[in-house]
Amino acid sequence: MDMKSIIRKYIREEIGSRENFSDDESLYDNGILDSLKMIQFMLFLQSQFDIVMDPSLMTVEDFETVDRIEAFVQNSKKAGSANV
Amino acid sequence: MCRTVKRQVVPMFEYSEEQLEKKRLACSFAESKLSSHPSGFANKSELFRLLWERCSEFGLFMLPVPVGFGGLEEDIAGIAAIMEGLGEGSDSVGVLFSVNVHIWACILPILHYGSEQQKGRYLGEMMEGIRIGAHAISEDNAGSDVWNLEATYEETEEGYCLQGIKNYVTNAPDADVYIVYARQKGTKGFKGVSCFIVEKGMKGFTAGKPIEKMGMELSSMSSIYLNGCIVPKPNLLGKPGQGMNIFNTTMEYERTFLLTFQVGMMERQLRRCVGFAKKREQFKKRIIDFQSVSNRLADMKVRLEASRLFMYKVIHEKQQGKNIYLSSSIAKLFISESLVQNSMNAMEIHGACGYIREYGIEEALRDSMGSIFYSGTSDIQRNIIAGML
Repeated sequence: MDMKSIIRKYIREEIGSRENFSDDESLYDNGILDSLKMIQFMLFLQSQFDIVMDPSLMTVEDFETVDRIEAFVQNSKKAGSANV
Repeated sequence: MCRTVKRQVVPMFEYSEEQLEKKRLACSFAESKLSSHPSGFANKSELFRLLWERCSEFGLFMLPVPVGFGGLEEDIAGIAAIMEGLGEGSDSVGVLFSVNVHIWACILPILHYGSEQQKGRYLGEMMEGIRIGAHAISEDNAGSDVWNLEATYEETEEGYCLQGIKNYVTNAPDADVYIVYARQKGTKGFKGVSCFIVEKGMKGFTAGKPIEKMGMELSSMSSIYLNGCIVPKPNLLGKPGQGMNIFNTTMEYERTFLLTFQVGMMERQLRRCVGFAKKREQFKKRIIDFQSVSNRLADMKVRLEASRLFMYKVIHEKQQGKNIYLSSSIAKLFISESLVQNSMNAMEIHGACGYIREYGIEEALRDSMGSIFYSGTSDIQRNIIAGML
């Protein structure tokens, strides 16, 4: 399964979104991610994709859409491998 | 079907000898210097200032700050040991609460998110306790639903223009530096919330009159009013829209270290109850020999030891750099509710004495009640825990 599919599956099954949403749609504006679910979701991203998140380098916009989340994870993976 | 347990649930954690020595020193300092009832002080604010100065002399505000900034750079477990010792030694719960707000909700966000200029401008005097910090996020319609806040900001040529009212701001009447959250005009939810360092005396800023509370009387609280308050652009803390990250970081630390002094408080409370129950006699027997009393003491001890394990688990995970979002919520919920329950038991064990102000037993119950509301209510902790299942 590709990264976006894994992210979408988690949002549907664990976050509990019943609505269809596109990859460029705001997950905040359509009410899928609230402040409590955001942290649950971040913990999932960290463990699923083995990335380290530094809160001081993130903004909420990084998690607003599936497209941005994928880009954030990809960048975090690159940064992580560069630091090894 | 059985699931494979990915990690050890019970952490192997205990304080080192060096940390235990720091805990003893902190306890002894608190016993001798942080009593909330020294004679000659009718004025709460005056007494708060005196105890605050003593905390500063002891170096409390420097604990987490790196040596490079003039701090003591104590590690997580070392600070936990010191905080636990303070809780064990002092009945000045309000002062300890204000100290923790100052360190974790004001100094720490500046350390983690501040520019070099901000660190240079604020850290020194805040570490020395010369400038007191306050953390302003709650509003009339933004308590547990914290991202429903209505205070706004607009970028202008002069700086950021803040408009709104913040409520239940700990330390506000005494503070000099305020960490304030506001949303960019026109945004909703947690998106668009930024964080600002506001100073007393900035144009359009007013702190309200102190609010009388049920307990923790030495910890002052009031509303603050931002009436077109102009905050210079260099006083934006972190990046625009980073308010939620800053708040979450702050809460994680604040919750963790509030737990540690609460565990210390429970230790002191139990010791006092056992001493009383062994000394007081009724029907020609010590009251500890009555099962109704000894059972209460046993329950208090069980809650204390379980609380300590929860606290150690959080410290251990934090020390390991793990995410403590779930474990700190579980610990916060359990420890604060245990503290309230133990305080009730202490009242029952002391009987009529417990109801008399002079003995300070009822004061501990009033102080403990705050713990199920501050840094996230018990209801919110349950929501967080359930959400992670």
